[in-house]
Amino acid sequence: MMFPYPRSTLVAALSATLLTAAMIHTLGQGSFDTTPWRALELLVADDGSQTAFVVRDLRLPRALVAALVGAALAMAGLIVQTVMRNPLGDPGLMGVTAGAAFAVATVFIYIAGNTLILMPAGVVGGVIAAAITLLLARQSGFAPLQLTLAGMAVSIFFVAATSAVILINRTALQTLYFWLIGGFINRTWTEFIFLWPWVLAGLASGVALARRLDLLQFDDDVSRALGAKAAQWRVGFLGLAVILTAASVAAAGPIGFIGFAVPHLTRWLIGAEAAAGGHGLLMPMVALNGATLTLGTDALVRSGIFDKQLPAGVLTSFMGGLLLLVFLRRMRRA
Amino acid sequence: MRPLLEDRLGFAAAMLLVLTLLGVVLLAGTILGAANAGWSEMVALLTAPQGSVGERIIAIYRLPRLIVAMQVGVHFALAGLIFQVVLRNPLADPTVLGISGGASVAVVIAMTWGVNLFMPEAPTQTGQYLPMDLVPFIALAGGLLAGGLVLWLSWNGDLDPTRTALSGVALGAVASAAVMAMVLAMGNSQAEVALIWLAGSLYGRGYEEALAILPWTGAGLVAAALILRPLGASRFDADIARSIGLETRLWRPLALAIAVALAASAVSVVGPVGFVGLVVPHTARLVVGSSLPRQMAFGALFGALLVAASDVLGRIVAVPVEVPVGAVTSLIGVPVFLILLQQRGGSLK
Repeated sequence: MMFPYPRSTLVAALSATLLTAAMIHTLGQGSFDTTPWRALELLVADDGSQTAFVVRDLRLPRALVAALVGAALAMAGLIVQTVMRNPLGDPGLMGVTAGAAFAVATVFIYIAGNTLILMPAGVVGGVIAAAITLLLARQSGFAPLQLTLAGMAVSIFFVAATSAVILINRTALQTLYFWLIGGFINRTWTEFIFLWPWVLAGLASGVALARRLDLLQFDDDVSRALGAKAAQWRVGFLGLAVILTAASVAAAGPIGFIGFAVPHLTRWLIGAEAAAGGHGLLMPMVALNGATLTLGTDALVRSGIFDKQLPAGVLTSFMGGLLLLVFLRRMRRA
Repeated sequence: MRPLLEDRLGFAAAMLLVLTLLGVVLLAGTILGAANAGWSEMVALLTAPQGSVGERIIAIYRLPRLIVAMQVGVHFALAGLIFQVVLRNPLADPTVLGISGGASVAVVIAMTWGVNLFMPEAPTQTGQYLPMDLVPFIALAGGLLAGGLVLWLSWNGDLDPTRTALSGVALGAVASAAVMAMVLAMGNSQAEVALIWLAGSLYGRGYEEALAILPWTGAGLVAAALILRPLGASRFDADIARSIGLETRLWRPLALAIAVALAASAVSVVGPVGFVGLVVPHTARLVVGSSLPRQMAFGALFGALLVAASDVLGRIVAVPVEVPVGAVTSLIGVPVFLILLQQRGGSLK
């Protein structure tokens, strides 16, 4: 059974409702104001008006990209936290984000500014950076501390390389700036079409293999005794997290702290008992909550409470970071 | 792995080597650059000053900038050493502990207010419209607040190294998001300034900045020398430290405060230059062994060398534009650090 715990079922229902509400709300809202109902009508039947274009080709893809990115990053975060046995793990800590940013900036400046070239470049850059991190930590058998340390070093390196490349070619800065901060402004069907196969395949394999992940949270000896080829599976899962993250970063830029915060938030919401029940439940829950939180954040940004140019990435980093500090404090007491 | 130069003679050799390299970098830093001022201008400046443009470029721009670079290098290196010893944490460094982030937020807030209060339309740059002497204090307040928060969050009867580092990284990320948001609020045209400042840059830094943090450098060096003995003892358990008569409760926070002051004052003039505080102590341990006074002496000089060399390189590598010093320290420091890590088989003790 998918949801053997009543509290988890409630949380899932609530999260799904919020996701739907945020989606409908964000479709109707903006400088071409319509009622949510009218926006839904326009989705079903294109009447050729300007409002229809705004709803169908600007707001809808932006919202879908936000939801996909949120789900992908949250699941990647859960995988990294489990595999590295580090409650504060984040795909960004493996250098994925920084590597993708460097690749996008370099390709943009020296080769071409076409989105269809930039996005694959971002994926390649993220994968390469993560591969370097894994290679460096291989000697220690992918021990959590060495992985974190190597990932941090690789991140710092690529962040530095990115600012060097950009500052040598300053004209590119204005264009690259919003991508580098991360957000969903001006994300269209191009990004969505690029993004969905990666994310859907990643999410599906994540959910399908969730039981395997349960075995990896123990020490290597235990996992081996249980019959899991620990090292291979560990690398395999990290690879999955890397793909999910790299594709998201390539499409939306770095969206901070979703991968960090959503797994903790989810465990807290569904309660320790359900969370201990295994990744079969956690994986889909975390993906759903990631989509809700990210789309909700973008809806919040678009609602005009803040400066409308404020990228969602800044806000998620801020909120996620604060949340994380609260969790750290709670962990301390436990 | 055994330290490379552990005995007394080896230590002397290591110091001599660093000093020589520092001399080379100082020379290169004075005669190289985008502007047309080289060897002959420097000789003229030293022997018979004519007051030519080239001489003034060396005396007013390049020389003080080198001084600030060395000061900042010493600050970050000593701060990193103290953090790593007191917290017994190989990951500790002003950036990792969130202290650079906290100091940056404080400085950027002050910058924004300073600009808004005095010159609403003028371009922003660190402390440009704030009295420079004031900025280190503002940075210190931010750094202490962030450092205190990180330690409070991680304190659990003792400080677990990984938990401390992870709390610090988390707080640092919040801080950099806050800085980004504030800079964005200043307007998109400030993006370049923000990017340069966040990377850590010595552009335009001179005598004013050098003088502003000189008291901090002096006090920091004296304080570091004074706490050497308890610092050495703290490498053991708190129990052992107490048994040889150390008031751990008193001097551990004191040592941390000294390190925060060193890091924050450096951040106030260059921004959050990463990696110096992390890479220098590891290098020092690797080269001169486990003696703390030797680590301090070698580390301070090596930090000065690292930052000064990085800045000179950043100035000349892409003339006429500059690569910020923080980007260069990372680009040099990271591979070195990773090679060291590999050679030591991944162990950090």
